[in-house]
Amino acid sequence: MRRAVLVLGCGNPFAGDDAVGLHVVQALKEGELPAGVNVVEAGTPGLNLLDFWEGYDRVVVVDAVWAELPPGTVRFFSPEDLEKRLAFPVSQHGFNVADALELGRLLGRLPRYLIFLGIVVRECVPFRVGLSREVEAAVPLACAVLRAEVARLLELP
Amino acid sequence: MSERRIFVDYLARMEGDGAIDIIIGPNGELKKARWEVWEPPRFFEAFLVGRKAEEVPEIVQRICGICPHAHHITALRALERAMGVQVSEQTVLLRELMHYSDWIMSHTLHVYCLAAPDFLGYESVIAMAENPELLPTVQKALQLKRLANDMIVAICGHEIQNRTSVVGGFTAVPDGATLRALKERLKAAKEFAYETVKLAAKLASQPPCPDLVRKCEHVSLHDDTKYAINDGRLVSTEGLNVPDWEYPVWLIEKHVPSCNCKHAIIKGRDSFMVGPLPRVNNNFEQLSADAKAAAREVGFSVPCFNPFMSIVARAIEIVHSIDRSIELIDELGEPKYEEPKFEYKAGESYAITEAARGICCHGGRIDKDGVVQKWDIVAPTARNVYNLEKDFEEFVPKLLHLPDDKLTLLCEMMVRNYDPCQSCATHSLKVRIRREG
Repeated sequence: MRRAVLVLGCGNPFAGDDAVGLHVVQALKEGELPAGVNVVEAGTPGLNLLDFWEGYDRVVVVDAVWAELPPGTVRFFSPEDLEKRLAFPVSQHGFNVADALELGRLLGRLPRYLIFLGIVVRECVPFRVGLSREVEAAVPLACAVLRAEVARLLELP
Repeated sequence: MSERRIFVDYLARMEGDGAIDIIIGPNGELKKARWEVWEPPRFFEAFLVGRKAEEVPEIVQRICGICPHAHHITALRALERAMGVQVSEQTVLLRELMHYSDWIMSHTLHVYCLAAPDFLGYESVIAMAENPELLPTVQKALQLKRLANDMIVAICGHEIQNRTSVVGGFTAVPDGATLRALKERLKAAKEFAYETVKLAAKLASQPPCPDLVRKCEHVSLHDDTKYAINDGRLVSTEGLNVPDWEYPVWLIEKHVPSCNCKHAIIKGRDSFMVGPLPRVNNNFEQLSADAKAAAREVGFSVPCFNPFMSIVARAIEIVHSIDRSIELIDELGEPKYEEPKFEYKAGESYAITEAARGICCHGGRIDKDGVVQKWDIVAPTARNVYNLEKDFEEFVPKLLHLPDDKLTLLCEMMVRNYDPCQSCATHSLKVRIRREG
């Protein structure tokens, strides 16, 4: 097992705020990254999530979420939160992040440390490129907390 | 007796439009049997006009994330024929391997993640995986899907949409060692493919599926020398046999006054079916030896007009796709880079390839500067809608004794038999049953 951190940015770039996960990881890549950090713009990976994180024991998934919180709110979630449907990752594909997670658990293919960074969205409109104002404004904060989390995960034994 | 309604709508994309809507009258007569379809390619036809020829295959592969290579290769072939571009034998073989990768991926996903849960009575593949006896099967299915994705990455440089295939050939080719490593994995996957055929046959033999037979015209490509996937003549079980580029003449769309969707028919005749079952019916002899043997072992014989046997045809095609991919890798040996070349020339042509779910048609006219003047796209699902409605009309009256939940499931299965290209949306079906009157 590598001592490396995988950051997966999820979202559809053509569905309004759904793209926020991609924006956050793009911002992360613009800054300097410590060695051992891999950043992937995963799009709407569905079950391919399981393949993406194969071989990693520490993973952060950055994705748009629906929640009863103001748009632009940035929160960490654990897989358990997702299972309880506190938040629904937005995906147009049949298998979404929650499905991959559930199947991954059954197959014993979940990383030891799996953390979700969710950004609460306002609207996910098909065929719209660009984020709404509040969500756009949350990108620097999301990127900063993501950077700190990645550093923390790298230090874990 | 009151009126009975089966209504299934889609969770995503459809904005509440009815997807499956069936109304059964007080005397058991079918008053409405409709499947409404979202047809994204229509936008593409309009905005391709004015684009340069070489942009067309690049753009149309984005119509769909499940069968991008079908759209891509069909557009390539139509353009190359229109402009008189000859491609090398290596390009033909690589395109075939690329498309078979797509079939393996799509068929595996369909059989295990969409159809099997239906037949086995699970809500989803996840619920299926919760059964410890079925978990290893789900694991193997995901491995096979992974292998297919890795084949696509090796050839196309990327998952899903390709970055190497262009008009005239490939901008990069996989190396022989990569292909040979894939070949070993394909050989290892054969056993699971056989098991898939057996499982599919067992599933499709559950009542009432074997009794739901409806003879209709089955349409596919055909080639005497090999199983037709990227090229061939357009044939049918009723004797159609024409060059693929003539499809606009033979496969036409009829407006129906009471319905705002168009019905696909064969000129002078009626509805038809496309997909794996028509392909196996029309091309059984061209299947690989092991695929034929697997079919015979489970008692599958052609012609078969039971749409619920589509899952078996799909499984047989997985065996064939693996065998043919191994052959193709052998034939390709050490692929060499060849510069893709073409020149603009005014012309008009049309082509067909077999997407995993049936014939995919593209074609149009370009001017001497390579600018698209007109472009036509018909995805397989659009061909099947009318035929599916005829399945409803034939089968639903035979199933009225069933409770609503069973009848609804069977109606959904009738849709999934066709593996519609909105299979992603089909997965998230939201069901509502209403009794009226």
